[in-house]
Amino acid sequence: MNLTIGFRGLQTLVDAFRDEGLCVHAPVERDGAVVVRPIESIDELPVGVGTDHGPGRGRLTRGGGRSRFDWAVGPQMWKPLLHPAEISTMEFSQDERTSPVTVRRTTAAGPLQQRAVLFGVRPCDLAAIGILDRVLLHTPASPEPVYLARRDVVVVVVDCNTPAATCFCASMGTGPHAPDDGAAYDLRLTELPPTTGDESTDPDYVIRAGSATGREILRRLDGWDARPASPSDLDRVADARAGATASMTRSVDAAAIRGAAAAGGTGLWSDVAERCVACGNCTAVCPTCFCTSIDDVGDLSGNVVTRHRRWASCFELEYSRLGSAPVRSSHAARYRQWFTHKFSTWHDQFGTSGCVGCGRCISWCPVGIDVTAEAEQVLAHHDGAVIAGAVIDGGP
Amino acid sequence: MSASGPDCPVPYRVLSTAPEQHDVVTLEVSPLLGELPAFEPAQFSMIGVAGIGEVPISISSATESSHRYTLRRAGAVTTVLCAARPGDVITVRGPFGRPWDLRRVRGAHALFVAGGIGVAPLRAAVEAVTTQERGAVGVSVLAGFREPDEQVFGSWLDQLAERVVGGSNVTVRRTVDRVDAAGDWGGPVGPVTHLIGPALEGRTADPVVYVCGPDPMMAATLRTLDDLGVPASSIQLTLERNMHCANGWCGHCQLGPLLVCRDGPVVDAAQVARLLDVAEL
Repeated sequence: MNLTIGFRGLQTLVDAFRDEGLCVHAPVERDGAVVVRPIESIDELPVGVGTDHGPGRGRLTRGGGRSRFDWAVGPQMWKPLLHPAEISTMEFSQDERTSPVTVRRTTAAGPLQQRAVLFGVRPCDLAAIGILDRVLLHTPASPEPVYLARRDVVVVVVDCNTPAATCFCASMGTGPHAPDDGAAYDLRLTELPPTTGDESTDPDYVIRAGSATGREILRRLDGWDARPASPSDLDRVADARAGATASMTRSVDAAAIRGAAAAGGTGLWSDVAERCVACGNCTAVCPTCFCTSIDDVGDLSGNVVTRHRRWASCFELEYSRLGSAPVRSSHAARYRQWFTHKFSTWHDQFGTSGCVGCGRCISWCPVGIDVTAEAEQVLAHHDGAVIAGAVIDGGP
Repeated sequence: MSASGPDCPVPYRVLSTAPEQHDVVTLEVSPLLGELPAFEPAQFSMIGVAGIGEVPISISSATESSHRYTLRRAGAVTTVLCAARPGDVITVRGPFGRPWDLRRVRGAHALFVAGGIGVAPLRAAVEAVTTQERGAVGVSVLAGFREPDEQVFGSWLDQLAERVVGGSNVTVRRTVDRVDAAGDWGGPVGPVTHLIGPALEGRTADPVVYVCGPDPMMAATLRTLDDLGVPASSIQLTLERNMHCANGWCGHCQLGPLLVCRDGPVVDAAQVARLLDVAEL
């Protein structure tokens, strides 16, 4: 059931979450970027902000009237909340330096202090959370404890009406709109721009529930300022969807690149390696990059050792160190690892692509490497001999 | 009460240490509390020192109450571990990973090919095949080392040759890459792959092969076995990669489509033959 609510209806929603003791994390504008912070009022959402992105470039734009969701993606949104960039996971207390006696998990490794609402998740980022679920929770041995403890969140997804120039989610099958059915989200919002052309008017929103939790939330808000979505509202949703998809200029042939990225080819990666500086920005902003490293740090007394886990990047030399040397020392090998993992071997490992087409790696690459252009190069120049994907059809 | 789970280190006591060569040590350890976990040959554990870190090391042999880990000094963690003394406490998580499939030796000639410290993950398998009733028709163990004084488990290899499996002695052959001019090495010099053809000559049963060593040595071994007509389906090898979590969460141990901690360390030759030929994969 689709309902239509006014902008203030979002406040009713936020208040309802807060009354339940939940913390609402939502996009806000800080230091020239859209980032995620806890909010109390919907007036903290960015107003009339859009995104002007290109290779190695990302700026916020003004002039979007009263829209709240015309920005595409910010550099960091939900991944740091569910899969922290750095966290102390354990403490070892010991009698003497080499005698650990007890190991305990830290509070930080447990659940969030307040259950979180992820309010304003883009469909690409929703797909990314689904991928992290597969990577970190569906392991045969056991689920990853930190992610598992934090994963109990309420997700409010907002369809993307104005993708950035760097976006290619449609080709990866993750956006620009969240699916009608499916429990991947609890609530879905579509922002309806004012029909009057009056830029001082707040938009309306079409809202629907995706999960039982979402339906319960809508039911409890019965009597709020909502009405069943009219046929004309739904036409506007359809128009917004069609317009957003049509506006996207970048794409990756997801099926073809899966085989091609795993294939060899003379100099396939040497050109991009000339430009790549192996900084790891693409892995830091990627919403699915999950790799971590573990570091142990002792206190000054030597009695307590804290185990830290931090995001790692396959562009780090140390990432692949084996014995006295890294396995992947050249930039070409490290770029190949990142690229083939995203588009090819991720399927073999986890049964899904590792790329959602959010375009962050394009915008936040300091030298402007465009992953969609690199994909076209790979498709044009691979020699067909599959090397990195042992099994392309069906997976292992 | 300590936390538990596959990411939680468990304190182990070092019972004894044995130098294998100038930078290789075997540590015999057992848990301070609780039972020694079961293990299968080629499985590995994350062994570490609190405050320094952890490294993946395979279990080279075991007693009823202890595991032995054989490791080479390479980085900070292994440097501290190699200097461990009896009575010290280290941490262990594991064992983890897919072991050798030793059922394959029934009715077959078991061929073990080791490069350097790669003999360690093979040792428990060789022990099982040569001391338990596993049904092998014959056993050959081939080991290549860089130099004569870099042999690992030299005396164990000597003893192996006295064991009888399937009515004949275990064949043990060693080779080295190079010999010091002053050395008294009487054996062959050259890659371990040169020992494979002779080892297979005259065998009455089809071989099943277990390989462990550096990636280039394993790639060369697979090529040699292919040239000799040994089907890839009869070959297993064990992989080594950088590892932090050993639970499939950290990403470090990827080799193409494989997560070595989850899909290995033992893999079938068909899974990796092409992967090992790719530089820096």
